[in-house]
Amino acid sequence: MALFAGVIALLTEDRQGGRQRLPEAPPLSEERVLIRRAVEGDPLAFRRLFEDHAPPVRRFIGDLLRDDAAADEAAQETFVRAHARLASLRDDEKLLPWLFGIARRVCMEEQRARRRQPLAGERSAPEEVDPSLSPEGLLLSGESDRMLSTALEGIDEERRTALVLRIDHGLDYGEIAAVMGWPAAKVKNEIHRARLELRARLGKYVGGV
Amino acid sequence: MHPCDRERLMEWFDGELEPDEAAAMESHVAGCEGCRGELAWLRAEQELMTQRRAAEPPMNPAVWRAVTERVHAPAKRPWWSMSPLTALFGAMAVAAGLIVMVGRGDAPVPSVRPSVPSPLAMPAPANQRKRDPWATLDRAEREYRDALAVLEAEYREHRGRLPPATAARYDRNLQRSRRAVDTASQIARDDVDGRLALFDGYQEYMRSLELVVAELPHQVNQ
Repeated sequence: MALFAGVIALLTEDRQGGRQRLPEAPPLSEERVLIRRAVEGDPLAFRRLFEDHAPPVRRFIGDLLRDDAAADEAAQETFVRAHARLASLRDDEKLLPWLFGIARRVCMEEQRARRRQPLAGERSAPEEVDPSLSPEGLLLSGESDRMLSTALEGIDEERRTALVLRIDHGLDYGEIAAVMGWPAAKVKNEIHRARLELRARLGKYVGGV
Repeated sequence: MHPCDRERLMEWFDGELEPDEAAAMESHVAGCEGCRGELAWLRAEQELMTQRRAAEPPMNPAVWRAVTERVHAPAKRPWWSMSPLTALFGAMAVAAGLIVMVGRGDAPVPSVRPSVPSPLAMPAPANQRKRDPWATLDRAEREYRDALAVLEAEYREHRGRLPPATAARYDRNLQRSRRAVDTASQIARDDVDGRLALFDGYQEYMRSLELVVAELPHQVNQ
């Protein structure tokens, strides 16, 4: 029945000022169309959203938990929660940062459940970079994936989270602030410190080659 | 600001500076060996991340299977022993079953409720003579409305703790949706096709309510 075709949409679309002004509304992006269809119960639309966004979300979770089995479970939990809350995603809100926010909360719960303080004994202040190391040498040294992952592991978890959101997932500082619940100034500061730590740790590996 | 401020350089590299600031930084970097070295590091880190992404193994297909199973998982306990929200779906399932029963109708269901039995109507089989499709539809609608009341009570319970703007938005949209269902219910009263379509509307409306209620704790905590 046409009367009910947009009942769900009423609850979300009206946030933008009313469905009555549809002719003036800008065209929807493909992602936004998929979101609406998924909210209306279209399982194929949700599948598409999953396929598009699960890889970065899973990688992000992997960087936080550093445990493949736990990361798969947390990714699963993230998308189940996302499915339940998809209607609450604002029209001006990007899906991927929103998913990262859910994923981060899931990871925090997982870590609390495991009662593990991640890398508590391994954290250290940034070290000085080996002056003989060049960025070009780093890129040519081989095994860069392993080195990067190991270097990331040593960085304080919150700081590492902000860093990967920036340099892996390309979120801007405002989006990172929203995911982390931090003021923008802290985002900038933490990412800067994380980069210095990452560089120091990478330098240690390459310097030893 | 010192021209070789590394944090500022990072902001420029990340595209976070205003255009005039970015232009000034670009001009400085062009003539500053130290900053060019710093910039090379930023690029190398970015490149390492890109390489790592390219080497990423494919997504474990079990994740999607688990997600879809959980999203569409049926309730395993009697609905009356569950939380109000879960009970709602139990009631909806009962109502849906009733609709199927009526829709399948072994006896023909009139498209308009007859005021006088037709003398030409074929007698229904003996085992179905006592079934009144209109009573079944009425009962199904009652089930929906009862379930709706449970959900609306859930909403009212949390409403006072919502941010005022959020509460006003939810109120406005829920009232509008509720009025639409009520109006359709009145219009469809004596039309069996309309009654059946109305249940689709109830299902959609209740699902919307469920999503709003599911979001309430998050809105309250903000």
